[in-house]
Amino acid sequence: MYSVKSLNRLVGELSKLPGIGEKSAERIAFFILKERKENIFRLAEAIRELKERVKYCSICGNVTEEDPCKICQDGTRDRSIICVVEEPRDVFLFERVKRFKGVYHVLRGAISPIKGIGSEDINIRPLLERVKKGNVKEVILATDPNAEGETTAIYLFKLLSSLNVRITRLAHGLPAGGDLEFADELTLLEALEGRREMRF
Amino acid sequence: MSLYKTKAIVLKDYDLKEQDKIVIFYSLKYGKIRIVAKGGRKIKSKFAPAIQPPSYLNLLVYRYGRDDLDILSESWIVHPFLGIRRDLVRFAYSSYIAELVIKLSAEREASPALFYLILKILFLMEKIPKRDLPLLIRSFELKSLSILGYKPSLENCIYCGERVEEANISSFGVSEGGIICESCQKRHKRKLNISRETIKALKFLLYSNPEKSTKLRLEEKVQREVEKLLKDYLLYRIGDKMLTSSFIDNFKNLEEREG
Ligand SMILES: [Zn+2]
Ligand SMILES: [Zn+2]
Repeated sequence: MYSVKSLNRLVGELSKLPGIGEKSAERIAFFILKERKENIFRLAEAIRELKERVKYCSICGNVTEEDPCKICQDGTRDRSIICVVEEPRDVFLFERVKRFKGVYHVLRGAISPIKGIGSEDINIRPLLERVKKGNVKEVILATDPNAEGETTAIYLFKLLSSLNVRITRLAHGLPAGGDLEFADELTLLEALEGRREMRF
Repeated sequence: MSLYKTKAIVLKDYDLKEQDKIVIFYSLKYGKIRIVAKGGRKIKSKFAPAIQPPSYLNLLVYRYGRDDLDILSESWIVHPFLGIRRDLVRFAYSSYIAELVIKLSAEREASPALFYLILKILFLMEKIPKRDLPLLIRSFELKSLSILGYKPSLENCIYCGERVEEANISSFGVSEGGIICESCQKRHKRKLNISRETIKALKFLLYSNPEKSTKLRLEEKVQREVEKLLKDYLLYRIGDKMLTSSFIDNFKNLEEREG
């Protein structure tokens, strides 16, 4: 079979991306091959810049170019309320809703025994430190309403319940399941405003 | 294309591209199956509430052929096992069961016996006192191994085939899958690694129903020996470490610390 080594290599790399199968990877690779050099180099540069400049905020764990991130630096935000989410994309979601004035904590994952993801594998320890330092009145557990997100919320609840802090969970107003990533703004707003004391 | 209906238990789910999920079920009619739940990650997906492990469901599934993944058409929750999902330790145990089934069973090989065993274990797991959960798991390990054709030989020596009295059993061969009599043990220079009480406990767990097994009261030492032996045997059978076992201990510790 006819093959070009560097083309194959690119197809191989592209097909590792989420949502891209072998066929789409080929289509993109041929597009890149045909496209003007400047455009493609700009794309390559953007990817490089992202990986070189973006890091995790040392306070909240969100992705950021500056450390601490803009939200953690912002003096107008209420630092006594921490909203705990699974992924950086969830912060974008809450920010789009514009109603939340507190700060965040990004776990970058959820606890899942069957996938072997434990509390040490996600950004939990720094959250505990933040709460232990005091000045935190409320922790909103905004992990996904699916089995892994619930497990993570219960775990955090147990971990935090000995500390003097109010712990709330997003109200869902909808059946359990799904990822927050795919919630619309209204649903998220309702969930935030209807949040409840977590109890066990 | 065809449609089929089956009862099934959710074992594991993972993200596919965009908003879809792949769900691994243990089904009554087809054993272990992988099915695509389109839009399963969406918060308002009709499937999302159902496909949470370890829910017990009724499924209606599209089948396109051998080389394509089946697609979920409808799902109905029979029992969501909320009592397991809302308890860290129970959830860790149910994850252990799911991992064991995924690693031990073959794809699309039906075993109604295994299906009903998993179901029974989950229903018990939801309600029995937590201290009885380890024995429930040991019962599941032995019974599922037997159903899948890996039943350990507990009566006859795995080398000479002779029936061995409990008093004369001296070791258990993990790679051979059974007990070894005294003379074979000496001939094959095997370590003495099992006590008479442990053999008794193994037999009880293998032949009694799971409810009865959970009421068994064993000495700490025997319970540990049973656990260790089954762990080694499973490791040998699966050839892979169980990811979920450390979670059981971690979650237990957290609950004990909390009091
Ligand atoms: Zn930050
Ligand atoms: Zn023998």
